[in-house]
Amino acid sequence: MYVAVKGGEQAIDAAHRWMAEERRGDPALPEITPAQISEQLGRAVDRVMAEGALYDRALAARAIRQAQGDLIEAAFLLRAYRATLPRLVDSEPVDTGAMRAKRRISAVFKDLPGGQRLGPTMDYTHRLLDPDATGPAAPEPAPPEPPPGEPAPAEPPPPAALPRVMAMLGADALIEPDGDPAPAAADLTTAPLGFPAPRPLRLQALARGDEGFLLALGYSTQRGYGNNHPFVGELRVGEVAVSLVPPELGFAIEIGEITLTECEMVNQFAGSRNVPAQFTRGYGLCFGHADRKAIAMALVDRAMRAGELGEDVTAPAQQVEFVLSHCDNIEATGFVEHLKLPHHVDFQSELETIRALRAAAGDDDATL
Amino acid sequence: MTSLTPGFASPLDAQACFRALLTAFGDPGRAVTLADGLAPPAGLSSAAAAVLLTLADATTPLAADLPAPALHWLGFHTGAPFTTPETAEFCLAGSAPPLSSLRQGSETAPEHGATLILDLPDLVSGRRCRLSGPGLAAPRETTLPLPASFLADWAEQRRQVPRGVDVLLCAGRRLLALPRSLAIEPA
Amino acid sequence: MNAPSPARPAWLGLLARAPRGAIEPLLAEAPALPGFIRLRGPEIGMSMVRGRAGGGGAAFNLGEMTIARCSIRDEDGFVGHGYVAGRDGALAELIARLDAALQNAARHASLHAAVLAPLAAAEATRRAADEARAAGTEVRFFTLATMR
Repeated sequence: MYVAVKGGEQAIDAAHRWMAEERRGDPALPEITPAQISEQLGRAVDRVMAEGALYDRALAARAIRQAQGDLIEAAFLLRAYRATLPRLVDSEPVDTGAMRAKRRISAVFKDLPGGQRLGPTMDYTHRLLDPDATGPAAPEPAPPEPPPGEPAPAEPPPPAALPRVMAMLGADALIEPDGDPAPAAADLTTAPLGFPAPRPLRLQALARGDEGFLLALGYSTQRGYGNNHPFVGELRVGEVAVSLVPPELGFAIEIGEITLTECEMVNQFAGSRNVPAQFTRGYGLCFGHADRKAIAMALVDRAMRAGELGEDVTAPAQQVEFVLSHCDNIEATGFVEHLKLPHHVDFQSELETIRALRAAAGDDDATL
Repeated sequence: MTSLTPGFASPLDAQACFRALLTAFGDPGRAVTLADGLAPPAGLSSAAAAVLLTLADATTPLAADLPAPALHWLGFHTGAPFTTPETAEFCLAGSAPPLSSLRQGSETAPEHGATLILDLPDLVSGRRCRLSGPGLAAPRETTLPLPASFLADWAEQRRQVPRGVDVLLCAGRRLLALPRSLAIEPA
Repeated sequence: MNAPSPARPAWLGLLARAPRGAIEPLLAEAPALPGFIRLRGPEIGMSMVRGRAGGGGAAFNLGEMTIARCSIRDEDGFVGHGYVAGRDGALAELIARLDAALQNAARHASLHAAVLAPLAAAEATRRAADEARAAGTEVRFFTLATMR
């Protein structure tokens, strides 16, 4: 239990002042602006939006600056801010099939209708720290002419919805269908998490879950703790329109576009006497450009479907209650970090108990 | 063409109304007067309109017996879905329905009990009542524009605390609160 | 007052997708918008963004986004609504004013020419450039066997 403590205001004020100075750093250097963070630390902004569960680049950038780059603290600031906003009108489910994808790759098919496009990626870099101390140089301009031998794409193809890899497999019934497009599920932000948690609720928890936690759990499934033999069927990153239906209009309107990353995982097949063998699926979708998060989410989503697919539930990633209860880093950091706050009274009671036990034991010894 | 008219001019108006509601619920039976400025459609008092614009939103089903323009106005400004009195979180009426017909909440979630907003011609005519309970240092005698059946309902509802209905009486720009914790007896 | 082409959802979407600061300069060249009163807002709030499991299955709540909205009635008697991602209430109000004026057949054509057409053209150019850039990273991996 906690017992309120009093006092220390002056010390706390002084600590906050120091903190503000530390945050600002050397005043001889220009102060970093949220716009710079948004533009130049885009992946940090993406992560804070995903884990803060609020899409707003400018706010996430401000939170990162205020938190001195502590991304969990920044996500916490975003969650606290969102609690002050009314929920006006909820969106229609986004159509990721109509995504204007800048990145779209498949690990299962090399010849993909619509083509594979790498988009902006570091997948093929050498991961060598840039030796230039002033930071990565300005991007090289694109070559004016394509190298000889490779035909130039004469005209950019008209933007068309890229067909899904899953649809290609689905056409031959080689993979399980999406499932019933049921209406919107329970919402973690308005009702406490309960069990058993249906898949839509699990996906919401994963989408806002800690990237590191999901990464570790996803990795654990690959190392044999609930292996489900994954292939990235398709990974896409791009702009998706968000629509909603204002009650006063009664029809859907677009309110803007957001960047999403989607991963569709093709997993180990299942079949039975009645159902022909089919691949199964895991799904990842998150705010921003976040390959790692979307892939990890898809792995964990698939692992948590073990029970539904008749697999033994033996590994941590397959245990829905374990995963969902611990994936939120705002909740986790609150409980873990509170340990540093004053626990003087509860500790005093334990101290007294242990002294009493020892005294009693000493008395017993004395009677021997 | 629609005849929609404005609601609150500023979020500060909603905050001021919320503060007035806290005062009213903290001092049961005493009428508070809300600021001028809200001009709801016919059939809806300024106080009842302000209360709903302050408290109702898309997550609070609303039941209201009103002319169509007033219903449209409330729906537009609050975003609340309309429903029947039995399932409403906020129930707006000109005379009190049986309290037991409204949402009562549960032992574990008494906050799900409905709030009944009675929109009345005035707050002064009616019967002498004696109020006592939380918020009142001493019993208060006042005149409440409520029928005898309401007092019987209220006595009945008091047997099942913490479940029950909270009541707001509104007239013009004035409102007074009868929280479910209050005892109301004929004086 | 049936809205001429482009239909109302199309112009509301086009205005909401326009880059920040793109609308005002176009309006400077257009006939002035009529006076108006605010009916609701401008206010900022959130919308829960929903996805679908597997892209087409059961809907789930992905996370919220900030939105701004505003509703106005202009001097011609038209009610306009503006909804836009982000927290720019002034932009939501501007969209609402344009929405109202665009419903007025007497104003539609000139506003369409001055605002909607340039925005649509700029959007098409922007999207074609994005698409060309993405196409520039299109890749063909070679394997020893053809597979499907």
